[in-house]
Order: sequence, then C-alpha cells, then structure tokens
Amino acid sequence: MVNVTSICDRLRQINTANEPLTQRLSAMLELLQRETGLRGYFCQIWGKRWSYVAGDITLAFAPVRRQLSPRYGIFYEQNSNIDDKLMEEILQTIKQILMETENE
Amino acid sequence: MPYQSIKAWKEQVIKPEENEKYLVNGNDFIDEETIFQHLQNQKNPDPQYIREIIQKSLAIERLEPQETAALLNVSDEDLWQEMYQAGLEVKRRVYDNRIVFFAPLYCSNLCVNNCAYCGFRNENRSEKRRILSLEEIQQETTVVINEGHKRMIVVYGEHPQSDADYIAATIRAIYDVRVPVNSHYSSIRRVNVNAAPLSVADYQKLKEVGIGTFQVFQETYHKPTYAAVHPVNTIKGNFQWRLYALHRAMEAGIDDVAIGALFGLYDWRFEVMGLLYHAIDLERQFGIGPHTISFPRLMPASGSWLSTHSRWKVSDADFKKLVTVLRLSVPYTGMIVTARESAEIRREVIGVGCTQTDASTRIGVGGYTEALQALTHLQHGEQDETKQQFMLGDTRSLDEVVRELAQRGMITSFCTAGYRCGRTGDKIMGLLKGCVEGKFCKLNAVLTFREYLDDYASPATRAIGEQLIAAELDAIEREPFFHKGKLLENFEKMYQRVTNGERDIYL
Repeated sequence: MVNVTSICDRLRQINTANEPLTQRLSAMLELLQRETGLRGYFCQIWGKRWSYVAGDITLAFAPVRRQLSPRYGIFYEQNSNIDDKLMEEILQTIKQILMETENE
Repeated sequence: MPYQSIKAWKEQVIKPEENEKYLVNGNDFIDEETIFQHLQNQKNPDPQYIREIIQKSLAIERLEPQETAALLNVSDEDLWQEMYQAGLEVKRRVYDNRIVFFAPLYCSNLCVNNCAYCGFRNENRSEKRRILSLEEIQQETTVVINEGHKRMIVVYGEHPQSDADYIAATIRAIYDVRVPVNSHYSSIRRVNVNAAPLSVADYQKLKEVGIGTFQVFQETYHKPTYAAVHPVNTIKGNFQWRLYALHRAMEAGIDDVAIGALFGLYDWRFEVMGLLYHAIDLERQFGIGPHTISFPRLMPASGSWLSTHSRWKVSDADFKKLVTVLRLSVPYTGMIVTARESAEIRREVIGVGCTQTDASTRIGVGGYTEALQALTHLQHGEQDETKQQFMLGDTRSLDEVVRELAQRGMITSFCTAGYRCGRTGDKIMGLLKGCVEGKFCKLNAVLTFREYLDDYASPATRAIGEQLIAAELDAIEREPFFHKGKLLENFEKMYQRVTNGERDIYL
C-alpha cells in the first residue's frame, strides 16, 4: 500500500535538488513509476501545443491529460495501485511545486 | 515598426553570433567537396549493396551520406522499381496509409529580397503587393475552414511589415476563428509557419502562440548557385543565416522544424545530399531530425527568367527518383508534395512515400476570398500570376482529391493530435523510428476523416469514404497493437462520440 504522505513528501524533496526543473520533473516521474507503477510525461504548454519536456519518452498513449499550471501539463496512465484520492494528492503536490517554480 | 527605414531594419536582422556555436572549426555542415566525392565514389553501385541499403531504410534507420550517394547513382530501372516499392513500404511502416492535408495561406508578398526565381522579389514591378490585415486573415481562414481543412501553413515574404510580431498576431487571429458547421464549430487546429529565418528572440515570440512546425527551405545547398540567385546585398544572400535558421528555432524551443530545397536551381543529386546533411546536423546537435522535408520544383513565376530557363530543371522521372531517395534516406521524416505539382505527378510521388499534401489551394495573397467571390459571380476562380509566388499545377478541390485518394485505399487525415499530446521533438522522433506513431496516425485519421465525411464531403466522396472507414475500422480491430491496454476501447468510445456529433476528439 502506497503511503500518500510519504510519496508527496518525497516529491517535494526531489524539488529541492539543485537541478534544472525538467530534471526534477523527470526524477519525480521516475519515483512515481518505481513506487506506484504510474507512467506519464510532462509537457510545456504553448497555446495549443503541448511539448514533451520530461518523463516516459516511450509512452505513446496516456489517456489522461491534466493542466497543472499555466505553463505545464501532464499526460498519465493510472493503474490499480493508485486510487483516485492518491492520484489527486499527487497531482496537487506537483501542481503546488510547479506554481512555486514556474518562473525559474 | 520601430525602425525608421527598411534599410535600418535590414541591417539588424542578421545576428552572426547566434550561428557561431553551431559551426565546427568555423565551418558549416555543407562541404561541397565531400558531397561531390561521395557522388563520384559511389558510381555504378553493386545491386547487392543497394539492396542492403534498402533493408536499412526498411528498418527505419537514417542513411549515411555514402549510402544515399549510392542510391542516387542507381541506373538500373529494375532496381529503381525496387526502391519505389521500398519507399512506399517505409512510409506505410512509419505513417500507415494516411495522407495528411493542409492549406497554405499567403499573408503577405512584401519582400526585401531579390531572389532570381521568385515572383515576390523586390524588383519585380509586375507583382501586385499586398499584406493582409488581421480581419482579412480571418476571412481567408473562414473560407479554408469551410472547405474542411484543420491545418494551415502560413507564408510570408521577408519585410519589416511582416516581422515576428505580425506573424504571431496572424497566428493568434487564425486560431481564434470558429466557423459554425452542423451543430458545432470548426476551427484551424494547427498552424505551421513558412517564413524567413529569425533570431532566437523572434522564434520565442512564435513559440508563445503555439505554432506547429517552423519551415525554412534552403532553396539550394550549392554555395556558388546560392550566391548567384540571392544577391549578396540582401538578407537572403547570407547562406549561413539561412542554413542555421532551424538550429536557432530549436534553440528557442521550437522542436518541430522542417527543411526543404527548391529543385531546379542546381543538380538534384547534390540537393538531396544537402538535405541529408541538414537532417544529420540537426540530429547531431539536437537529437531531433526534421519533422518534414519538402522538395518543391522550380515553377514559372511572374517576371522571373530563371524560373523558366534554368538548366537544372528536374524532369518528372528524376523528380520521382529524388523523392524516393529522400524517403529511403530519412525514413522517419514526413514528406510534403504540394499543388505546385500536377495531379498526375502527385499521384506518382504519393505512391513512393509522401505523407502530406494540400488541396483547394490558392497562393495569391487574399486568394481564397477572391476565389470565393469569383464563384459567387459565376466566374472561374483562376490563378493570377501577378499576385502569387509561382503558378500551381493542380487546383482541384479538397473534396476531389480526398475522393481520389479514397478510391486508391488511402485515408485522408486532418489529424493534429501529436503536438497537442506531447508527441513532439525527441519523443515523436523515437515513436516514428519505432513505428509506433503510425498506429496513432491510423486512429486519428479515422476520427478526423469521420468528421470530414459528416461535415463537408460531397455525396460521391462520402459514399467511397464510408467504404474506406469500414475497412479501416476492420483493420484496427484486427491489429494486435490496438488490443494492448485500453487503447482500442478508448478509440471505439471516441469514434462513437465523433459519430454522435462531438468534434476535435483525438488520442
């Protein structure tokens, strides 16, 4: 069973690393895939364009799309390890991180 | 325009320092001597070697210069037939059987350059100059949408009045147009840009508005010819500013870029090699090759002696060969044949692996609105040489071309999903090379073709289109790839939603 508090704390911990945002985003998705099996990728949003920036480069089809900030969004494929509540907690944590770091 | 004169504007356009980081020991990636050597060394290639190269292309591996040079030196007609078949097979593996359609929109023919082959050139006094207002852009867009198009490529001459700010404003204006059709609205979903090379800062302005692909054609990779047709005192006279245009676009974060050459200015074999070197250098420096390659042929243009008298004009037979060699050399890239070419030639080269084309095309500035007005007054919407860059070879309607392709078993696609789903840059390169993107092409082609049939198709096109869609749905059902995860289930729900009248559903 995945611990919500633990995983959200670890996402915040990754964000403190002194690395470019795309590398931190990449590390966050690696953690999520390792711990929960979640596959996904982040995009930068420019008008209609969602440009890939980090995450699973081989994932062709991810059915769920969420805009997380004015500039970033995520595509992901949920699985049975993650219930809707946990997914929402994870997304809110990343959303908060992105809002704080948007201007980097 | 913050500059006091066109001269002052021209003087600040080129920023050589933005190119320096891409040069190797001060040299660009076009080494003419090496290209000529490759072409010379690969004369009379062994058929077995050619077949090995074909196998490499079929494995979706980009060819090396000596391999492309070998293909260009094939003289055995039977071997060419094998290459034509392989070209189509490469296209099928990477992009399936769909052909993507787009409409060009010429926004301005004001131009400070003086290119010997072009009707827009500054010294051509017979050209009627015009730059469209944003309202006129939206009128043109409305006509294009009413044909059924979802993609545009916008084209501009190089001039301070059509600078990056104007280009960005026109793109916003196009994306804002919504045209009622049946019980919903239709719009342009992807705007690609063909414009003069920009600085990194100007590319960022276009990135902000969400462009699709940025396209710059080098015209010719042969430096002496480039110098001969582009006067040295013009912006376009600077070979390297143009050669690295797409490197700067990539640096600005535009990760879908498109290359091309104007065939007929110099030896077509050399130009194919130049395009290959361009693709290789983009891969080397960014890990991402060209999203598409274009290969327009020199066509008659108003007031251009060269456009009708060039000694390097490419025959129809050689044109098919050069398209085939490009298809085999850069297997992952999209390939665009336009309505410059006659219907017959388009049929030929779509048959060796082109992936995109246009129809219902008007390339006069304001041409769509004028053609519509002419039809309203029961006149023919004919081409006007004094308002366009060159003359078109095929002015058939979108509906006619869609119907013809459907009769050949090819599905028209208006898909714009990739760049809205993060399948861009190095991600889409990987998916193309792995023959995965084509699976999505197939699904999105069906969804957008369904839209077209329901909203715009004539009864005759709809009849043949329904048969094609049924065959495509059957093929999708039988393809094991679509049974992984919930892909097929998701697609079937989406198809049902489109059938029920929802629009712009994609995956």
